[in-house]
Amino acid sequence: MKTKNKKNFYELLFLIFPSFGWLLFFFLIPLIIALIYSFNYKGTHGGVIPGFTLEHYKNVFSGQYIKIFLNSLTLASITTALTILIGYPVAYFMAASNSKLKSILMFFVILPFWTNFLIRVYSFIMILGREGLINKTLMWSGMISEPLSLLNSTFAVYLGFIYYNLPYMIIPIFSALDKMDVSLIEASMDLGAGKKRTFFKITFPQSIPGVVAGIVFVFIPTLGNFVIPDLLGGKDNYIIGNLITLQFQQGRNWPLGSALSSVLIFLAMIFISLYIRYYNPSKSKKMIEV
Amino acid sequence: MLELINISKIYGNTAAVNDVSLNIESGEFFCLLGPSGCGKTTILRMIAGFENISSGKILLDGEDIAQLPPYKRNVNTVFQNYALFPNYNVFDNVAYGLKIKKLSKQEISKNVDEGLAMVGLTGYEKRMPSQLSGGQQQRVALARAIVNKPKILLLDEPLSALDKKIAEQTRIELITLQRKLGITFIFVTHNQQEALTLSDRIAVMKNGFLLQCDNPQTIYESPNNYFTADFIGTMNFFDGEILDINGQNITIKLLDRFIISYKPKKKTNFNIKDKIIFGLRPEQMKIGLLEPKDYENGIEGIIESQIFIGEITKYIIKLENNQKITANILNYLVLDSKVMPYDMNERIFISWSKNSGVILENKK
Repeated sequence: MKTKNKKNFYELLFLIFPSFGWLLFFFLIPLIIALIYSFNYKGTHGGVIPGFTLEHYKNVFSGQYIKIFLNSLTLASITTALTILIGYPVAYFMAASNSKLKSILMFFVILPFWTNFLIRVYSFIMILGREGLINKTLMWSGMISEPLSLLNSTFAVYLGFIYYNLPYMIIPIFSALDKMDVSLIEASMDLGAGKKRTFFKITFPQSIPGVVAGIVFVFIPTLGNFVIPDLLGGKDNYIIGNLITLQFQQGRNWPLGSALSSVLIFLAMIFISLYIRYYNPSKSKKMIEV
Repeated sequence: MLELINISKIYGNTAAVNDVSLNIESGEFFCLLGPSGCGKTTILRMIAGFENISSGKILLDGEDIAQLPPYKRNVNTVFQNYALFPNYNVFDNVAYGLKIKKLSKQEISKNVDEGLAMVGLTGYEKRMPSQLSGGQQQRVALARAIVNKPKILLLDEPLSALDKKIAEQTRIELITLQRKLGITFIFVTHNQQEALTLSDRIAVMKNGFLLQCDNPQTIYESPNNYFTADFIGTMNFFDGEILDINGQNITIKLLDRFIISYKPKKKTNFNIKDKIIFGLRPEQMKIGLLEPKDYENGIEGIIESQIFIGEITKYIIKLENNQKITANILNYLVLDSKVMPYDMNERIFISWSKNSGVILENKK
């Protein structure tokens, strides 16, 4: 950002200080601590012993952990793809609605945020369990005689992740579509394009920034999440998040946990820098430069 | 060529367009003129297919197109905000409709070249819409529509977002382009100047109703209703009453005081004792110190102020009933000493020819 004069610069400094300070103390410093820990030796009862070793990183890239990394990437990718497939039509419908329906729908999309995340995940246990809503309904209707084991399955993990992430996908796509000039669609139809062509040639390209933002909001947090696989997936569906939690709790291997975290953060940084590179959010910086 | 037959558009219990019938000829430059909310844009959107019609018929070359989706109508639109596709460059914007028609690559590029040449944008093919000025974007929008060779080109206030100078220049270019292409243009505007300069015919609209549809000269000289008279140009209005009709000679009492005799060029449908409004353009009046001659009409007034506007001086004249009227006097007449300049508060007579003016129904 170019600053026209000194006074302007100090003004900006003053304005960004609170958020910058917050990020520095509660975000950047802990990250640095984690990075340092990842090179230390493991303490016997948790904690670290100062020193320098690459053993934990070797460990991270050994067979068993790399497999979990790949699993996590697959899971996050599929979750992201499915949330796009489910969320896009919802966002499209919302954007096409009149303003009254729009705010009602937005209310429903935001509604889950009013309940604690853990409670929402637990509610899935109630729904999917042996005595849960789905099994009871199916048994009652006579479609099955034995309850299905829906819980502790990959299916349950996906269900949980998709449920949890949908609003994060819907909202950015909606906001991109909502900003779009309706006359572009009309212009396309006016020039002879049918609805399908208009969607793929005009509407969808206009919504790509929203989709990309949605991908960032869904993919990266899913990689690090540990609560959903823990509660809905059981041991067979562990992802990196679970692995890291395990190292800090039962495993008592803080340096390994830190190394895993650092690799995860590094991955996230790659994705985010790609996002910034290609969909630079500061394209609107003109506002500041004026 | 294009016939609108009793078309209406009803939203809830208000009619945006109320039983409008129009017949637009092939090759015509047709203008829909009116203030915002008069229904002119709705009519355009109904022709394009973006709005359903509540009732009526839209015939294009005899075929009812009212139920066809926009992409099946052989008409194209130039949008008010241009609606260029931001993700395509100028070439691809202009080629958009041609690609859908499955023309070969060479044909597409030939047509795009021609289209861009027509609007004077050769060499801009690779630019993105965001890199163009408003006027250039407008030209691209025009090229994008005309390369499809539509039967009708619909233009929704295409000049309203441009600077005044550029808009005036584009007016002339639009007329030239339309003559060259021979495509029927239907042009929506709220700017009466634009409508007068561009059109073969103007349809004046208000509150969803079509008030008058005529060529610009008739609209200006013989408006058939108060709204049109007031909306187009400047007009002075006097309340009056018809005292006598004797063939082509109508005797009118103006402002309860002045008796004038009016000889309209066209036949009128008024009766004795009708309360009317008499309308007079500022340029139809003369100012003088002498009482009007018997071949003229005239009333008395006081000069309240004068405004010099280049080729004319605008005099604001106060009448005895405190009504103010405007008279425009050509300045070259003053310079040639054919007319004396006047002082403030000078008592004068305004006079006009017995053929001048219009009588309108007293319905404001």
